[in-house]
Amino acid sequence: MRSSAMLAPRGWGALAGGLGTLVLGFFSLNLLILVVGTAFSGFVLGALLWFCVTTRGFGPADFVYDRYQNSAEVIVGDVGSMGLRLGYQGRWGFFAEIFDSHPDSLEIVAGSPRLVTWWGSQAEKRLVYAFRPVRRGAFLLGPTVVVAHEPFGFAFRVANVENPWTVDVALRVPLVTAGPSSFEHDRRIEGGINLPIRGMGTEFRSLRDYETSDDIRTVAWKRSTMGRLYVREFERETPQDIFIVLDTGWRMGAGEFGRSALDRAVETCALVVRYALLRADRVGLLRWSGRPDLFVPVGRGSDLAAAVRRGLTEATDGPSNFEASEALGFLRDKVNKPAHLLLFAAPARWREPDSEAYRNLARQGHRLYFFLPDLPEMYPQLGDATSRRVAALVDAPEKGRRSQVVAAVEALGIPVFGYDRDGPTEAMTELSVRIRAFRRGA
Amino acid sequence: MREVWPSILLAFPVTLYVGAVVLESVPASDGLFSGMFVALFLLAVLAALPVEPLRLWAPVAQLVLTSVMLGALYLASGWGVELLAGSILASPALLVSYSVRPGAPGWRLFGFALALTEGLGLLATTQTLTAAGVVVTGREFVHEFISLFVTQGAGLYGLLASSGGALPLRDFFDPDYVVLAAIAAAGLLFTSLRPQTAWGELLPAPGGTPSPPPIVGAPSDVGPELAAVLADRSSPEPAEDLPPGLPSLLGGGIAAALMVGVAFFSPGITLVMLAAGVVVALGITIGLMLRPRPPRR
Repeated sequence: MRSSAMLAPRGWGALAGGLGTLVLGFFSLNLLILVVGTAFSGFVLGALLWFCVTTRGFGPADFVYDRYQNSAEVIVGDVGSMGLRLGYQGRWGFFAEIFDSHPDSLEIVAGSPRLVTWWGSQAEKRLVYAFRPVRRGAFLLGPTVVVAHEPFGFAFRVANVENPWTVDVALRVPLVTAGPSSFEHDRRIEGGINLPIRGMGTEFRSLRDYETSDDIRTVAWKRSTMGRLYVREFERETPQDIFIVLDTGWRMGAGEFGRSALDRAVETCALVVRYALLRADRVGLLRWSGRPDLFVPVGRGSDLAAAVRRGLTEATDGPSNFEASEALGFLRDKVNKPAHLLLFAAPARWREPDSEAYRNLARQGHRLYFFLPDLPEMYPQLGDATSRRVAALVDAPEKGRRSQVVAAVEALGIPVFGYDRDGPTEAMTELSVRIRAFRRGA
Repeated sequence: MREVWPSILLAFPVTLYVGAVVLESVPASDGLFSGMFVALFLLAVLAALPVEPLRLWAPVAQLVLTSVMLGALYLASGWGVELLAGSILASPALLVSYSVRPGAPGWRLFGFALALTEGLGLLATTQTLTAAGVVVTGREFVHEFISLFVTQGAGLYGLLASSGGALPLRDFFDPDYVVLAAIAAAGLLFTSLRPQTAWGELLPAPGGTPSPPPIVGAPSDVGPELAAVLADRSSPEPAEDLPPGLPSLLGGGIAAALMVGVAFFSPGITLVMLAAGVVVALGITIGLMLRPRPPRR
């Protein structure tokens, strides 16, 4: 695709000025004014003609590119890098403005994605820059925009060199990042699930006397004596279905970057997924932004892990309100087998339709756990007493709304786990205990 | 900002010359005429200076003076016309003060051409009045100046209708004025035509020393490996081939020389040739700009 030359405002002004000067020449018919008008018009038209001729056929095909030193995955707060080599194969040199498009969410910390320079024929230019992501998600870099400028700024041509590159920005999740790498580690564990005695449980309960029907491999040799053999008895565990519902409405955006209600929810979800996959549970995800934004049916396997991972990574808050009745109603038809439903949401209210939607799910055998962020607590404490008093006044309505939601939800028998800017660490322990009880058939 | 000074020094003398020639023929007793010119000329120079408060207050003072002039014209037409004559005389300087500022070269050079045309009219008016032996006062000057442009318009109409008529601007020639105008044009080109992008960002200068673009942020944020790669990135470079803008300057020079040549050898067809040349060049340029070349095989 070849690009047309475009007149810049300066170019339009120069053309108009040149023609206006010629009009003055024609009016006065004076040689001096005519010469000025002719020279100026000749200058402008000469500049435009020369630019059109030398950049004729200018387009993306004139460039070869190579991305190097580039990051594919960056953890929030870390620094990623991008290197771009561009070769120009055109015949004439030109003044170039090169810009590697990147989202505002990637803050440039070193180098520059932009360069204004003369670009000779067959020459190569290198852009190198480092960036620090300020949001979580999947971000597209490119295309690289090359603008050929007429030396006096009268005209320009634009070529978009399509060389896209995706950078995934993930949250730092301590347990997951402790291993070789976050979900890659999960995938490996999940793919090679190797429970020692599948179907008989993995949790040691007690020793008992050996019976002839027992598998000889269960004998506890160190505890046994010459006359008496003991065998280890394990608790039987049943894989559970765990389904995560993640609200991505605007209220979940409360808090600082990396510590917002949504960020903490995503971190917790990542931990839950890892925990569940380790235990051979099945996992599903619903991302809700006023409507189903992403639905990953319950399952297991590397594809499931990758889908959930992407779903969590790309979760960003949007301009929607969370209505529990809609999200829970959607799940009623989608999740058939009884599951543990982990709801990470910040509804502004809880109404009777919401309760009714929950009761319908409960009748199907689902169990709901509600992770409710304390929105005013998602922000750091203010320094002085006066500011804190003012903040308390401002936060009072939100605190009241939250209390009403908590009361209504707890009245239904749903466990509510509140969390602040430090995340629901304690709630995670309680949740794991509860799910473990189900796993053992309690 | 520093580059505005040569333009100011080169561009204003031509307007000062026009004022001096006109005021030379005005009786010394007519202080309002010359006083208004001097005040507005000084304000025009101040408005062109790269000093921010002056750039703000000079146009304000011009506005106040113009208001005073219009009020005087309304209340007492006698000395109001004198003020009007002085402001007409200073108007080329006001146009030049607009033209010497950087940016928008087309409109600024058009403003300069307008100043030259007006200066031409002022000189021609003075020549007509002194040739007629009239004592030049503000009233006569304004009247004759307006009459001159009306006569020029009527003459043009007559030329098109083949009925003939006087063309006072065409017939006027002052070699000093031409030389000063050429100097002023050179001064304006100095500021107006600096290599820059379409968005007004200056391009790397041919004589400048290329330096690597600055590294924003703290280099400690990046590891030593990346820091080494960062050091290897391209720097802004000036043009390697022809000096930027040389072809366009040549185009302007050749066009002007051709026109003068045609005017010298065949004056009758100069205007037709000029009009045809502009239309053809404009057509070719727009045609080339709008039509992308087919992809290469």
